[in-house]
Amino acid sequence: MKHHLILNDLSVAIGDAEILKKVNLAIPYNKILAVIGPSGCGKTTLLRTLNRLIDEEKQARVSGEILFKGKSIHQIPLAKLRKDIGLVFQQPTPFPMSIYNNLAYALKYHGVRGKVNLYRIIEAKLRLCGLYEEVKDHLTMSALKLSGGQQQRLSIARSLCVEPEVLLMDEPCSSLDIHNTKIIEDLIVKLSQHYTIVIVTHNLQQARRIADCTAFFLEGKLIEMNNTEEFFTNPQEEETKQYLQGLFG
Amino acid sequence: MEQTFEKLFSILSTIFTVISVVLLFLVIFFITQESMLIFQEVNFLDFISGLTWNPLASEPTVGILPMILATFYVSMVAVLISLPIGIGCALELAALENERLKGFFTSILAVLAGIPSVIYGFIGLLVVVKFLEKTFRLAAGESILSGGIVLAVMVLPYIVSSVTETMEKSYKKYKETSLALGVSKSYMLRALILPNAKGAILTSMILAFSRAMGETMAVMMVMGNSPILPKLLGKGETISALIALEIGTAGLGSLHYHALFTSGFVLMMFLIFLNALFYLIKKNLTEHLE
Amino acid sequence: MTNFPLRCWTVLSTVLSIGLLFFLLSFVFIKAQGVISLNFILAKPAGFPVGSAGGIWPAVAGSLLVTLIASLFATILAFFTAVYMVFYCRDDRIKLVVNLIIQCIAGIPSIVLGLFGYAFLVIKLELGLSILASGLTLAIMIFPYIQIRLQKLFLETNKQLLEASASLGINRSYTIINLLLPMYRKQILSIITLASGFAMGAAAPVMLTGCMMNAPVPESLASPFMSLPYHLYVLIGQGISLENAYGTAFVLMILVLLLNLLAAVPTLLGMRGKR
Repeated sequence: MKHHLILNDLSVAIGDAEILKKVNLAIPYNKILAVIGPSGCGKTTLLRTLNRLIDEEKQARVSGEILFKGKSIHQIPLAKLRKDIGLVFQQPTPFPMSIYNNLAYALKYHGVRGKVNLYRIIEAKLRLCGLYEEVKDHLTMSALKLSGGQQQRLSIARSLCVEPEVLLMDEPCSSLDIHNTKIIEDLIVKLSQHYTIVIVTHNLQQARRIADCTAFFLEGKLIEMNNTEEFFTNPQEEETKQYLQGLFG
Repeated sequence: MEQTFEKLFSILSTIFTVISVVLLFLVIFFITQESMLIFQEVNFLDFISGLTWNPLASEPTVGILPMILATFYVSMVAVLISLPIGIGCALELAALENERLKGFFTSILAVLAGIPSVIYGFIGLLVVVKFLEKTFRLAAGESILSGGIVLAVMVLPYIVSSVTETMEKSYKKYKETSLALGVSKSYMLRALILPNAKGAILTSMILAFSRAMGETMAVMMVMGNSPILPKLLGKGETISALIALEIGTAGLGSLHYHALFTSGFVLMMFLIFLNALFYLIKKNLTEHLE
Repeated sequence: MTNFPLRCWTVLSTVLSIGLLFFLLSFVFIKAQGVISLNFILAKPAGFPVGSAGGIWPAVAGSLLVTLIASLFATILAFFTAVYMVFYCRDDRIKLVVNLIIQCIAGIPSIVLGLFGYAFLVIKLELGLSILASGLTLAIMIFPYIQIRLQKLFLETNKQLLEASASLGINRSYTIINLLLPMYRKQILSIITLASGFAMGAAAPVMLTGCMMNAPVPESLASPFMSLPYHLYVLIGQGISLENAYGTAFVLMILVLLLNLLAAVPTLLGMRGKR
């Protein structure tokens, strides 16, 4: 089994609007896939479909098939699926509670018991996200008091706490400054040793810097996907060329 | 474990919702059912247009027109007294820049809204009724006017808060544009904010009117409670006072008993109608603003 | 110059509105001074007619208990109804109907709810004139107040927080209990205390469903009871004792003000925390 996630003829419609049209895509293990395309091309919907967050929307209709490790995602219990496929949002989403409780929140739910166990995992994930040294003395402080970059790293650490295999990231740096963007990008590269990462980004340079493969979406269709180097130096499709030259906003 | 709890929680919330809805539905259903029985003996039109209320006589008559009129009369007086004060206060609050002072005023009004109606009735009896007796040299100060004054105080917070809300929005929206024209704050309040709040004033009137109509204790304590056609300085009895005073002595299942339920039903219908009107107008206004 | 009458009007109105509260408070507080003592609060009503002497303890206890019962029932029902409407109900028609019924009940006057409590709870369900019947009637009265506000609170939750929680594989009940409840603790407490204040001050619904002119502190849910607002009404309405009426009004007012204050405390503390 080469691919972690395989999409076969995936279409998504919300109400009358077709957001994704017959997408076929295979995502390999432990690589970073960057998804690029103009606003409204369905990038975010793609992520929300992969962990079935789209099901929360009443008018959404999904057709086609998504295989996670060769198994349809609809055959996997929802809680298990979302635990295995984490999602990090564009805006940092710290819960209005202490840093420690932000991380313990999901751990407790998934059955981790005992202060020692909890602390061990929380410390490990904070270290992984380079946040431990900054917050180790303030674990009981409200997470809302952290800076934007710290909040985003906390959100990532929180997603990692439940030991996902895939991490979906929806423009995780778009609300951050250059310095924090750099920190998060390095973190993403580091994480790709252990996790499969799908990152939606507006920033072509970012895709080029960190992604192993890049996929380009336009109006709900997958136009082209290739390894990043090939994709940027030698695009195959006319639309891709135009987009890379900055023709579609 | 968590999945079982989730099931339980969703079932619980469904069950409790069903219980609430059934209970609330029962209120409407039960009042309606108990009150319909009377129409086997009395014609509906006679009931609401009859002038005499004497359910215990050997040939009982049940007409609640005096109570209906008194209810409307006293509520109208209350709104008329309260409205100018409420609007004036709302204008002042909407244009108040000092947030701390505004917060203080708002909480004072909230406390005013929370004071039990018996206390309003109590003080009304000792202050307003006495005052009217002295001023107008009345034998008894209990009257539609005293009821109206007491109710005016009680509905004031509702008028102020609902009018202020709208005025505050339009004040914030137009403040800079208006000041840039070199116009004074007072002129802006009079020429722009006040006319702009017409809709909000109308809805606040309906809200205040329905609050006043539904009130029991305070009006009952200061209005004298005689089932006669109301005059401003004469006694009157509202529908709610009628029910509160007589249900305890009405024999279960008697004509008297059912007549009281029917009175409650009539009051309920008026208020449901007013509420529906309130929501329709308010919804229209907010859509209009957006 | 033309602005002068307008200013006069607005300032006078404001002073009058604010002044009213202080007038009400000082009126009751000053007149009650001579009556209020620990003995007045803790003694049973005595004398003939009852209430002309002695204290008001059964009314204080009865009011507190009936308020507790009402708040308890109303909160449980309102909380789950709000949760169902916001997080579980997916049918817009059901939402519409439920909202409509709740709005209707919110507009029904308390005396009509009292009629329902009497005919349905006291007679039909055979609860008798009791603190339970009164408590339930008051619960129906404050239910819409709590439910509408809780529902608004839940609806206005930042959607992304809920999605972030869902993305961790966490179900709704855990999210509601471990994320939303702690997050909204202050607001929820404040809504419930304000509603309790309304329940405590209401006389019309309880006088039809179990409140008595004279009764001991209730021993069980089936006992009749005394309540402060009704006791005040009886003292003054039947001209039993003006003095004791002032005392009763004072105690009732203090209790309701305390609840108001309690409701405001979390917000005040929260404001300080933000700065």
